[in-house]
Amino acid sequence: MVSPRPARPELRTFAVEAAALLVLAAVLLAVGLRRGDAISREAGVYEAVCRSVLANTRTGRQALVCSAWWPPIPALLRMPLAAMLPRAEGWPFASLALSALAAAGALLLLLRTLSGWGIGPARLLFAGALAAHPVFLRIATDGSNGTIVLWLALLAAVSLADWPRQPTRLRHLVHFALAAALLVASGIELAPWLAAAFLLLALTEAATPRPRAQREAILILAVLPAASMIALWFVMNWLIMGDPLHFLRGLLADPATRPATTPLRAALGPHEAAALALCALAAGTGALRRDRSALTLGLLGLALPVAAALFAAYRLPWSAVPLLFLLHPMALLVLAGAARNASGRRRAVAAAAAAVFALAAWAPIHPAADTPVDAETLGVAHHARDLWLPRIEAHLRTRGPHARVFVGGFDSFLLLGHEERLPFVHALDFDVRAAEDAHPGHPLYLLVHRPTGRSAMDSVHWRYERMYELGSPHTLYNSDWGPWRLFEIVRAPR
Amino acid sequence: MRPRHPFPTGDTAAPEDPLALARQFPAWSAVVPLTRLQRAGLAVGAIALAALSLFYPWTVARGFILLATLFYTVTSLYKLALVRFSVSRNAEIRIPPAESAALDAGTLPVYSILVPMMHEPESVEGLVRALDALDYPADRRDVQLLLEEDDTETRAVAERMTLPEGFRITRIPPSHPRTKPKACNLGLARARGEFLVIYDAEDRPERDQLRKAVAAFRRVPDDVACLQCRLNFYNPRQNLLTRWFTAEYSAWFDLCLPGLAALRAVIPLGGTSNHFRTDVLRRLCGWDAYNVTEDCDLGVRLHRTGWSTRMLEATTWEEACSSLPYWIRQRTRWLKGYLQTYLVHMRRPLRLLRDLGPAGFFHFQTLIGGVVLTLLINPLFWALALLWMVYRTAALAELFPGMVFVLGALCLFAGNFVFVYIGAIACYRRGYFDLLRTALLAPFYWVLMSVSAWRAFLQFFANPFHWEKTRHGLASSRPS
Repeated sequence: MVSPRPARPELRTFAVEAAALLVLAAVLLAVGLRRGDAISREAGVYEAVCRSVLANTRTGRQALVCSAWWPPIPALLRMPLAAMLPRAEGWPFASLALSALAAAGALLLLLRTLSGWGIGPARLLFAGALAAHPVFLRIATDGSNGTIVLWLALLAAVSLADWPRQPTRLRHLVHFALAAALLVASGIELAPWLAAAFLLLALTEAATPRPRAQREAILILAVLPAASMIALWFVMNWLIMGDPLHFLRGLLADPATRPATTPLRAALGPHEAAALALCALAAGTGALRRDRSALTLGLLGLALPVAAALFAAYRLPWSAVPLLFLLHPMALLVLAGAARNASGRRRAVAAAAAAVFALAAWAPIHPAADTPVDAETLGVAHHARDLWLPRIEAHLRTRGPHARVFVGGFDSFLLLGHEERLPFVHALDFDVRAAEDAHPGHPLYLLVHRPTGRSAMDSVHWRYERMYELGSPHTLYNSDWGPWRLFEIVRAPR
Repeated sequence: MRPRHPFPTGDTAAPEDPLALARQFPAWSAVVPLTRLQRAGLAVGAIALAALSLFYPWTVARGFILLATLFYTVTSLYKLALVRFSVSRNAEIRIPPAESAALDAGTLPVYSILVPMMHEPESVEGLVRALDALDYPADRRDVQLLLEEDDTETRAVAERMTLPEGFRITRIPPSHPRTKPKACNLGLARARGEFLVIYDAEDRPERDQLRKAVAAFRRVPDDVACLQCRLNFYNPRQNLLTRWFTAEYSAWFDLCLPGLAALRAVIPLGGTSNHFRTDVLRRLCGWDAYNVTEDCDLGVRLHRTGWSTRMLEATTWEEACSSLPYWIRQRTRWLKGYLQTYLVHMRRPLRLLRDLGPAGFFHFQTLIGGVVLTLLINPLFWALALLWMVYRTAALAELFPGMVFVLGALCLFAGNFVFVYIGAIACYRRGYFDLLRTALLAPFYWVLMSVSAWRAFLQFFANPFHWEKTRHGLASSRPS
């Protein structure tokens, strides 16, 4: 009477994809573990932040939300991994695993998208072209956020490109909206790019004949997740930091107080220029042929250097290599889009162009555009810690047994890890008055990292402008220790 | 495969007894709301919890918050996954209009339609007209208006009318319990059709729904015993409540249930527009007359006994309850019924696990027990969130250590957002573009749901079989 229930094809597909994702990630993780000396600083900072949150510290909670330059989504994604994986000095396993997983996810997403675009076995060539890029290999194995940003940006771009082509498939719009929301809190350097993407969507919708209510509904569905994410960030800052704008304060500070950043032209190499040319071509032909999908992809590619230029103009530290690397997958998508619309020989030409384009990424002229501190590896940071920390400690011992040293900014996680290591204490939100109130009678010091790269956006640098160079009304220069400067806190009479 | 359940497997004559399930298989019925073992278990649990809370209040509170947070996290991810699966190709059976229209009228089986009614004289005429308009041969339909013997007003209207061919009135003798499933069981006993469907008095099914159902039954494997159609409202814009209700119904019937169907999971049936193979329904002794959400219970029973349910892409339009007091009563009944269903099937959890399998067991826990639990504990967590936001009470941080803090914050913001967004997506998919903004205010609607959940919880102990009748006929508009 009863026949067995039929199989679940959707679940099977999911299982196969999940297995492929895990295998690919395992391979990348193995490579990452072999290249231990290339692990990024970012990996170490985020690992310590996660462990700090897991240890239920106030510092950990603050670190989750207090800076747009250290956004929360990468930390939250690492959290379950950090809870499960063992802790080992110098090996941020959670960061490495997440980088590898996100890289594998990006590759599978590309394969899936191209399959949906009707591109046959040639899609393997496109995926290979992405995987073979030296920057992809670097960010997939160094534990940084590069692959998370890549994965989300890729998802946002292909979903936005597919939406005008298949407007009845709401999933494209929803995927774009969710990817954008996660991207908002994953990489501040992509904020202008995302703004351009939303603008593009609004313009596309304005040009599409639809009822007004439907157009409004589309825009609400697209914007709502990102808007909620930003609102949530404000609320969390208000609750945890006591100031809803805390995470953006660095952005609002006077740009003249920040060190100069990498000029855009220094970050653009011939490969990036070729990618830009491809995007411009796609945008042009898309506009002429009314192919909104190609137009969208082309314009999204062109928006990347604009975003970088904006950051450079406002002297905002931006991680040039992962950001401009996004030009590479955008160009690949443009070529794949051309292959989708072409037939026979033209399709082969597009695939061949992708192969040549991929090979060109290995050309020796590749600008080292990152600021020194962002390019620094975790090994170098740990070496500096091992070198300087004992010396500072010895120096302070001469000042008495009860000294407290507040280590300003996120670099404190590289110096101290996730725990406090007396006399050193984390100070993500350093305030002289609060420090005095919390430690009455102790000799107090402040240790500040040189404001290069993202370190320049730490609260200590915008709350006390030019702190590193000039100190503040309540601090006195004490001594220099490599990239660190020690200040003594002077008590004001009450 | 040998059935694991106690129900008869061969051809069974229609049981005339509307309480057959409760009498023959009391373990499957809510006739006893809580078994002795369940009562003892609950009492021991409550005493143990009270004692532990007395001696280790912080540990108990932390443990409770940890479990609740994990539960919220799983539920949020689960709902997202259901929405994702709802767009699968196999989520719903789609019958193109041309295919249903092409069915040869001569080969169509007799189709039974049961319409239980009580104190709804104003609905009779519209209902008869709507059912008469169904695209199905009059000589193949078997419509029974199930009218309570003592409901003289409705009977008077129905008996005054000249009913079309294939319509008849079945009188339900007044006896305890006064529930819809008891009436349906009597209708089932007298049904003549190969297939059977239930509609409510205010329902307006799409004209070709029966033909679609026949075509779908011919297409699906034999183990599919039930097809659930989508339900939606013809008065969505009447007031704020109907807007919220519509968003919720759209999310449930257009996204969640198709998602469950794609996963071949247990489907808690909606109250109406479930199409059955009549013989299967009889073998399972019909509905549980003591369960106030007999539909949900039947969905679980079908799945446990090896049958499955699929979603059919066809809509029945209903009237959204537009009056808050009536809405609360209706929701109270639904949630009390979910609680009854949960406790009936959880009498032997290991047996349930064996019947449903681990995945099915998970669906059951999350959907049936989880819905009630979520609504019961929501107010506590809203209060904690409010306390934290207003007073920044330091002690609260101690209740949310490490990962629990992260998950709790994610549930509070991201989790709630997920539910709101799903409502918005559902409105868009239904074409209710103007309702999307109302869907964003859903958290206020959840407060009303929690009020109903607590009413249901208390009523479960005080008056378990009481059927709080939903008042219809308040709609400002009727479908054409």
